[in-house]
Amino acid sequence: MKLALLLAVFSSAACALEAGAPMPSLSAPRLGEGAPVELAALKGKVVYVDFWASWCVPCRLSMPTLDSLYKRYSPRGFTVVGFNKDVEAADAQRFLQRVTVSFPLALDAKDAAAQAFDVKAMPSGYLVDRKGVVRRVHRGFTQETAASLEREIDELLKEP
Amino acid sequence: MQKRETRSCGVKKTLGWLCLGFTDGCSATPRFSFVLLALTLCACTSVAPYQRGYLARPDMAFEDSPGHARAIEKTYSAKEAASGGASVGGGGCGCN
Repeated sequence: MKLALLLAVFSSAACALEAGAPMPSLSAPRLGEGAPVELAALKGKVVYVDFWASWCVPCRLSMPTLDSLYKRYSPRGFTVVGFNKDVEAADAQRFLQRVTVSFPLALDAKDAAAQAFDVKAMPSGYLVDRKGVVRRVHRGFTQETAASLEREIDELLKEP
Repeated sequence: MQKRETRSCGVKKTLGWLCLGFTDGCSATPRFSFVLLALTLCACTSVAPYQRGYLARPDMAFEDSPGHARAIEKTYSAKEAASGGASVGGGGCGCN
């Protein structure tokens, strides 16, 4: 009985989504205009699923980098999906007026995506290969992340 | 002394279900109160990293105005010939 109670208390802490796990397939409304983002429909592409917010300082650094990577590698089958974690969508819109990005952005008002990916830090990025398997998880963002991300994307795009 | 105890239990009885067995004067057992406490602890959730937008609001800040707070702190330090009581910048090296 006591053990069951303890398990019930601690079972809410889900296992982190690490490299080797399949990408959760979920659908999320677009931030701004456009059709909802369907992660399952992105199979066959190398995807970088990014969780960002306007209040997150390293996200300001990551967004221009991700945008330039998206512009450079999207013809080869790479895409970025940015899940916004702002409390108010208006905060995100204000941020995007200063930092413009061209990749698809999604809303995650009820934390469904953040919970499915079990986001442990902000920003968190999940690099997913063409088969839909998470290959690399980046927690936080620095210039080193930017450099290694470019190399990893290039390597994953070479895989069938 | 006797009177005091009676009054204390009386207050608890008027609170009704809020007593929940924390003393023998009330009917429920201490074990029940432990289970209740455990269930209450479940309700305390930590803020996930992606939920920190709620903490980033201006009304969640300790000080309304960081500049004003700093000015007050500086004046206080000068008047009292003491510094370091309030939070100051630096990494704890004692060099500022």
